[in-house]
Amino acid sequence: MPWSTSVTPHKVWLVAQRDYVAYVMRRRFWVSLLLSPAILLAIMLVPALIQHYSGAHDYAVVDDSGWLLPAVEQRIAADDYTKLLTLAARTPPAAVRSLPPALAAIAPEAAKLNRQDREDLAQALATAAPAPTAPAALAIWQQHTALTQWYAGLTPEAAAGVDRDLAIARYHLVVLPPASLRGAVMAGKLYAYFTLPAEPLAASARFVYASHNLTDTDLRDWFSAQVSAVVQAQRAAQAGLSPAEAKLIGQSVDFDNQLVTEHGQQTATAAEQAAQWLPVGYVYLLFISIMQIAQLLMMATIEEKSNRIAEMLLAALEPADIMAGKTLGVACVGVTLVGGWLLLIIGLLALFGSAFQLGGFVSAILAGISAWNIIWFLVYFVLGFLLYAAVTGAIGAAVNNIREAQPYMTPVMLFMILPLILMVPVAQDPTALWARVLSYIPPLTPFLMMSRSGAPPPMVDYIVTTALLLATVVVALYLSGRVFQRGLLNTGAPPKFKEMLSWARRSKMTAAS
Amino acid sequence: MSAAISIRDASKYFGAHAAVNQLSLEVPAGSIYGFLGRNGAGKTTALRMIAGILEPDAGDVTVLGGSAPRDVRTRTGYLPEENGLYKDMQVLDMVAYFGLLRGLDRREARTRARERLTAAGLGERIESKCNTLSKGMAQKAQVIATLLHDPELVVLDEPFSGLDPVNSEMVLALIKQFKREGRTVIFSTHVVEHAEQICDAVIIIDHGQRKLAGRLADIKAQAERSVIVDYEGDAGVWQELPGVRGADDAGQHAELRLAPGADTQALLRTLVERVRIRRFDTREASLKQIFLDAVEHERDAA
Repeated sequence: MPWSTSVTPHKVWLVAQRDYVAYVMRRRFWVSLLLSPAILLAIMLVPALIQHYSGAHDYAVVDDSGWLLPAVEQRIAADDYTKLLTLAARTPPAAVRSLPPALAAIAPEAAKLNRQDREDLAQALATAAPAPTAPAALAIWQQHTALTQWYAGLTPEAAAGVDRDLAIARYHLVVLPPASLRGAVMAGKLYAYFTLPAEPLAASARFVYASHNLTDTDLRDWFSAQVSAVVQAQRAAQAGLSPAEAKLIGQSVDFDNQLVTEHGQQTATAAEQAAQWLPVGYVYLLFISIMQIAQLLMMATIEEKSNRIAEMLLAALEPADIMAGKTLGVACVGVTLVGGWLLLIIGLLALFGSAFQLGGFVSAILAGISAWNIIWFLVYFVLGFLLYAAVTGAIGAAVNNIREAQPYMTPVMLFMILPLILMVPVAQDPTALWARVLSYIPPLTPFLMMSRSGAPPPMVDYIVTTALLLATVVVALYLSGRVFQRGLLNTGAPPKFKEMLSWARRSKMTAAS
Repeated sequence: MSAAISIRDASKYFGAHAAVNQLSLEVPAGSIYGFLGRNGAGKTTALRMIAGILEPDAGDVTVLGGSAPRDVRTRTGYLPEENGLYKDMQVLDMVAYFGLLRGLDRREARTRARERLTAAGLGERIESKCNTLSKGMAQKAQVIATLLHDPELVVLDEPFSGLDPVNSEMVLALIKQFKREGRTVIFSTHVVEHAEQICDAVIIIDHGQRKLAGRLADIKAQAERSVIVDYEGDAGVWQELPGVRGADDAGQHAELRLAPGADTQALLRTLVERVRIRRFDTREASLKQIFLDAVEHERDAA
């Protein structure tokens, strides 16, 4: 009388259905569903929030030259005007009303400006320099008083409400007597102060940045860049160069990121660059979902054993039906969990993403997701889950409680954490030989292959690693089924590892009475 | 009467230990059959083989007309020793679920579950979670779940274990009801009195082996009986009386041990002729004594 390894689909479905409903109805499920994305979002959003809500840094400048600071202030204002003109130009007509009136008034004309026109106009607005020539710029220039007065009266808080990238939203220049600066810094009233030398164009000129906190170099770097630009322009003028020549000389080179693909070589879009990091997201999602539900299966099995339900089930069903049903039920729980996370994350980002200016990043990421990768993600999810479920299901059946399961779970967890450690190095160098070799090890295949998906691996890798994985899954399920049927009735001491292997080898169902 | 269960030389080993050792037994259909034995005697293993949970390593176990237990799961019901309930499930859902697993359709399972839980006095608890039930209630719910598909063969492992006298009576009444409904019931117990109360037949198992099996009346008839006699006068030599194997005489009170098959009526007639009888009390050997003798004998031999 051989013991069957085939299953009855109807009974498998009954078990799966019950387990699914039982889990989805539990509070623990909803806590896990809501908490995980909340933690993930917190990790993503907290730095943005901190930056959003931390106010502008107050700084002061001691200008011994007498001319440098006003020039720098003009440059800063020109930068801000460029940003404001860009904002006005890019705001869709329907949303223009949400802009401050001074910006709303110029929005239609601003939309007509090209980049160079915008920069020229911004320069004109900041310095009251010669009027621009472009018709649209001229139209704005002619009504610029409202705009410049509004800008001059902006507080850092109000500026942050318009665009928190504006310099005046981040750094606030205050005027204090030079003698009081040190005390103001010590008292926390001033973040830092700069000293500009009397002869700033001299090679030996000494510029000083003084602050209580030298670790945050944000303000220093920004102000230094502004001063450098003005000083460079002045040095160029002294040397007899025109402003245009000076600008060309000062211009740094900018490397264009190009993505090499089978179709050739082209400038990488933001989405393509973001997509290079998508594998990390895939692996993380795979890891979290597989680990969660494989553990869920183990806990569910242990619970049925300790509740003595297992014996009732064994009297009504074949062990293979029970194991297949439980695995399917828990897999459905996992799919619901991952699906719920994705919906929640996308929903939350849609709601709050724009508030933290993550919208462009998110859409770039979403645009980088290809159907091909989704298909492989699903294939690896199913196979990876079945492989780890085979192991955790067998462990759950063999032991009587979580404590007894720990020694068996440790090596399993080590294997599962390995891809998590490797995911960033592999995503950075997906074509490395070592990454390729490791992806041929079946327990690592789902994670490593997804890690490598940034630079799509050759088809032969997909086929061979999947075939190996599939074969491993079949063998693992078969052996696990045997341990499962023998383990379920074993209420004595948990088996030694060797004993468990012998259970897997022998087919007859035995258990202590 | 045909056999509901037929066990032929069945053995079951766990490692080198034989939990059941060359066991043979025929259980007639429609009877109540008790499996008696000490803890660890092999009762549960035997019942699990009958329920199709375990497979014998040697020999044969067939049920309901020669079928392998696993092939007739929709016709058998098995109640394990300990309460197996899904703690978080509603009572109605849990009972109906086991009906589904045993082949009932969804509607039928729920209808029956509702009717039977209500009939058993659990009507108000059908929407409660199983972990809110008392042990007695849980046992009832579990019995209903086990029998929802109206099995012809009912296998109960220690159904009285941990129950108070009221709930024990309830289980006894249920078992009698199953018999009236024409089902075959086998159950294991180490409380011999329960078996004595309701069993048509019993098997005594020790160390996985059959010590004694058969109809309760036959077993008792073959066991040693005794008679308590209060008398006045001189009865003479007790051993010369018909059917008496030995006597313990205290003058006016004696306990006479009877030979198997002794005719107590003939003994009473003889005694009345010799002495004045104030009391003549026939004592059948109790199943407990028979059980202890069977198991003691084994222990002595060991």
